This record gives sequence, structure tokens and C-alpha cells, in this order.
Amino acid sequence: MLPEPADPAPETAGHEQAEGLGFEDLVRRHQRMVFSLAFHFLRDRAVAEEVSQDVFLRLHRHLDGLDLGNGVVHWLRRVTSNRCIDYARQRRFRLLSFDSTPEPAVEARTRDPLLSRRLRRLVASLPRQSRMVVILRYQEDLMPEEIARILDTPVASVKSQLHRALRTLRDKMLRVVGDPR
Amino acid sequence: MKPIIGAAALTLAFSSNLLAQSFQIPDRIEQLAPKARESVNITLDGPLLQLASQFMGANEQEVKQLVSNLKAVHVRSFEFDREGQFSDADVESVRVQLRTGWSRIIDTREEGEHVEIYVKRDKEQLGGVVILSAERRELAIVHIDGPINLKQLSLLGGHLGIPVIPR
Amino acid sequence: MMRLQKPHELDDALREAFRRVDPPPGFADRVVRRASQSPVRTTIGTRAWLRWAAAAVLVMAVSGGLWYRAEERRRVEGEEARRQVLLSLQIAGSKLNAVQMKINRHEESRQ
Repeated sequence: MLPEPADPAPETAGHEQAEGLGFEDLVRRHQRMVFSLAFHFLRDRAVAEEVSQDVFLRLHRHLDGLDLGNGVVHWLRRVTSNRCIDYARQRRFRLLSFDSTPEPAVEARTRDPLLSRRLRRLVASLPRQSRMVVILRYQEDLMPEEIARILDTPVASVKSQLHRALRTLRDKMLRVVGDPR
Repeated sequence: MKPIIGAAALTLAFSSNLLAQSFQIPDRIEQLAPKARESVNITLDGPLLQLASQFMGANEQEVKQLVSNLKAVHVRSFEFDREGQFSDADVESVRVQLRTGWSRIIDTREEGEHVEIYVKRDKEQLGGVVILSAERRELAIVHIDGPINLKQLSLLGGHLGIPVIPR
Repeated sequence: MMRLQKPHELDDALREAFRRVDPPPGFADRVVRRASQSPVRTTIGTRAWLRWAAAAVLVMAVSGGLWYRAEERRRVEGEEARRQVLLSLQIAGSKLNAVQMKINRHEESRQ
């Protein structure tokens, strides 16, 4: 079980400068990343917006008088991940039925939308921490070391969770589409 | 190379002028949903399509234009755990509606997948498209009702994640 | 559906499935607005005009809230309809292109 995370103060998340970037700029720059993490994890658009807004409001409370640069990205990922996992744990989030889950239409260049939907649904059935590991890996293209820092988890655990999750996904996909061999 | 659009034009030139029947998803197709592991069920009529158009983004104007004159869009897509969950009779219940007033412009079979594309003539343009795709564990029916430009639909490639196929 | 025959294909498929998506329109504006709101201080006075003013503000807030909820409902419905339209066209487009690829392959093999 993930220990109760303490949101790190942004000033400890990085030392880069972000001169001239006001709060609104930061919101507009990073809203896709934060919302996508929340949406892909929680699979509910309204809840994802609620959690995302909460993340940015927390940033706003810490922001005054601080310099932020690329460190803010790490901070946002960390706080968003923790908030999502907490939310899912507290609300006992249940996977909605496929038809009622409001999927955003992919502006993404998805070659096979049905496959993408299938994968997202399978990932949503993974344990919370594994689910977030997969999403951070494939949405943000992060290596296990960075994911471990975000989730405050040993690197070995992240690698193990990722390996198990991919094996599960592959097995379930083979059952659906059939082993071509 | 014969692009789909060319095939459609060729077929329309010789197609009969029979009044096209309206197409409806058969009940026995709807009844497949409980057996499916996953299903997609989309029914969008005129007012909903108009509402959707109002929420199209700046980079979706071509979609907006394509959708602007449509009467309805229906999608039924089912994925099953194993083979044999739908029958030839289920698929035939779709085809039988498309025998009058529709022209089948594409009929391909490959690697266990059978795809048929039907178009409906409406004066000098296509008045609708039905795409029927049956694989061993998957059945998909897409019905686009209204003036549709297949070339426009194919040109959306690259905009909606549909790869542009070279001609 | 695409068959994931090689290990990297699952990686590629997952990257596509989990591409970033846009938040609902106006998200940033709503966040900035909420962040800029300061607590409303109310003073209870004995003057009638203050009470009337407070009541007027309350009425406006409630009706504004009702209007906002109706607009929010419309927004949610409209966005959902947009998503479904785009998904429908994606499915149709992918089937058309799959057929086009088969035609291309058939033509090439005949040459």
C-alpha cells in the first residue's frame, strides 16, 4: 500500500529557473500533462478535471515567491500521481462499463482506436500502483528510475510492477485476438 | 491501383435508380452485446451531430464540414472471448437490408477478416455508407447516413490518426 | 484488430493508447479563476440596504449557478457527442484504410 504521500514543496523539486512564468502560464503549459495523467488513471472526465484543478490549486498555494523551472514538471507529476492514487483508494473507484466510460476521442494519431480502447481498459483493471507505473511509462515516456522518484518507491519495485503488468496485458490481448502462431 | 473512391464512382455510374431503403441495425445484432467482452455502441442522430459540431476544435474543421450534413451515425462493434459467438445468419441480417438500393463496392476476405463496404446513391452523390467487418472474434458495423464524401473521409487521414494511404 | 506479434508492438500500442489528451475547453480559465478568488467577507449590518444588497447577490449567485449547471450539462453532452463522432469516423476510416491496403497489396502482386 502506498504510504500517505506528503506533497513536496516545489522549491525542492528542482533548481531550474522559470523566470517570467506566472501561474497562468504554468497552467496552460502543463494542463495536458496533468489532466491526461488523471484521466487515464481515473477514467472519468469530470473526476479527472476535479483532481487536476486541485493539483494546480496546490501549486498556486506554493507558488508565491518561488522560482520554478523544469522542476515543476516533476512536482506536478508527483502530486497528480499521488492525488489520483489517493482518490482511487478513498472513493473505491470502480471501473465503469465500457459504454458508459466517457473516453475522450483521441486527437491522438491512433491507428487502431479499438485496440487503444481495449488497452486502456485492461490497464484500468491493474492494481493502482501498477496502473500509474504503466501510465507514467507510456504517457510520459519515463524510465523506471524517474517513475520511482515520482512514486517514492524503490526502482526494483517499479521494474517488477512494469514487467508483471506488461505480461498481464500481453496475455489478455492474446486471449482476445488469438495467438497468431 | 484502384482506390476505393474510384470503385465507388464506377459502381454509381451503373447502379440502378431504385429507391434506397433506410438501413437499421437489426435486433439480432443488438442482442450480441451481452455476449461480447467489449462493445462500442454509438447512435448519433441529426441534433446530436449538430451539437457535436459546435464543440469541434479549430483543428477539426474538416470533420465539422463532413459531419455538417449527416443525418445519423451508428456504430456497433463487438469483441468476443472466443470464436463462434455470432453466426452467418447474424451477418446476413445486415446484408439483406443492403440488397435493395445499395451497392456493394468492396468485398474483401483475408486472414479470416471479411470486409464489405456498401454505398447508397442519393441523386448524384453518396447518400450513405455501411461498413461491415467480420473477423473470427470481432464484428463491426458502421453506418453513416447522409451525404458522405468517401474522398473527404479518406482525406481525414492524418487528422484523426488514420494513416494516409498512398494511391 | 492489430495483432501484437512483436514485443515492441505492445509498447507502441500502449504509447498510442496513452497519448496525452486535451482537458475540457476552458479548463485553464477555470483553474485561474478559482485560484484568484479570495474569500468573500460578509458583514452583517443593521441597515436594510445592506440586507437587500446581500439578498440580491444571493439571488444572482443562485440563478447564475443554475444557468451555469445547465450550460455545464450542455457542454458535457456536446463534448461526449463530439467524442463519439470522432471515434465513429476513426473506426470507419481505419476500416477503409485497411481495405485500401489490401487493394494495394493485391494490385502490386499482380504487377
